[in-house]
Amino acid sequence: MKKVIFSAIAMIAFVGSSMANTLEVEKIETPPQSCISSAIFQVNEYEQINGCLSDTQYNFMLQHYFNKCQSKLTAIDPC
Amino acid sequence: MMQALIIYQMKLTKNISITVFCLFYCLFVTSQNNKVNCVTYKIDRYTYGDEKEVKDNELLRAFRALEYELIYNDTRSIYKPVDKLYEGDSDGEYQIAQMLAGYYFFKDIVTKEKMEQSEIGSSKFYVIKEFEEYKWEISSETKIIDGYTCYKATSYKEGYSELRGRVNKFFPTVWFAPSIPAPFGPYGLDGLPGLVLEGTFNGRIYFYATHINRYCDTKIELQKPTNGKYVTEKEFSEISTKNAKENLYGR
Repeated sequence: MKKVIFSAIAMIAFVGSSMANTLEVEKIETPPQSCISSAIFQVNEYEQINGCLSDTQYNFMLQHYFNKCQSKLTAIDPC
Repeated sequence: MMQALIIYQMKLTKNISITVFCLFYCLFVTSQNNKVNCVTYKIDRYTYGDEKEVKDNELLRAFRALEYELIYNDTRSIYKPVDKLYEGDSDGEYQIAQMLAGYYFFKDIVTKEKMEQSEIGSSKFYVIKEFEEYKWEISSETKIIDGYTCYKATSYKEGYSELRGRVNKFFPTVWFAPSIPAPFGPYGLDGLPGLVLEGTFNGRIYFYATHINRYCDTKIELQKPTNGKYVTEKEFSEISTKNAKENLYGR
């Protein structure tokens, strides 16, 4: 009886462990850092290359990169 | 009977003379209005190294594809992009480049008005600028642009950015030609004793004249725009900041 119980447990453990190995690890797209931070980074980078932006230009650019980041996030999970 | 006929003929001659005079006057006035000057400008970036040049290639390409025209007469000028289609703007690079390079500038030296068109979403604004926006310092440094001797002038401008909580500082630099005595220039870089043929607002992105066409024909009228809301620079900055805050943090 003990043998049967032991074998059953061993079998379950074996099947379980083998199942665990064959499970596909779902690829989860890690969302990029906050879109605001990302947009600020991009605008700062732009200024490094192309020179300083005026107040309104900065606001426009920030929103542009922010919207772009947001739309990319939406594209990952269309549902 | 004969007398009546003579009087009639005199009246007719007088009427014809008045008509001919009016016709010539109208033609003269019309021809004066059409007598404008057109200068085409393109945009580029002053180089300072290769490393980041490659990194920001798409936007720079968009800047380089843009073309602007400055149309002016003795008293007024407009500066606007040349109407053309930009293909392959899937990433909105042309949209950004055009926004940064400006949509429409108007200046009238008689009424002392200066304004720039700007857009927030679908709303159009005309931002009223200080007529003497820049206090220029003219140097003796010269260079030849398209055969014209140009002098260098520099200025300083600052503005507070609420979203960043800091003061932005700009050092505009232009090259103007005293031999073309028109106080106009690209991107609102004007107010000098000569046409600006090259200029930069922030020291990196610059505008340069490619075609200087004196006395050109155009259907564009140098009229003050009326199809937008007029606001001061301060008001526009507040609207822009409020809109950005709502979009960025209000979601």
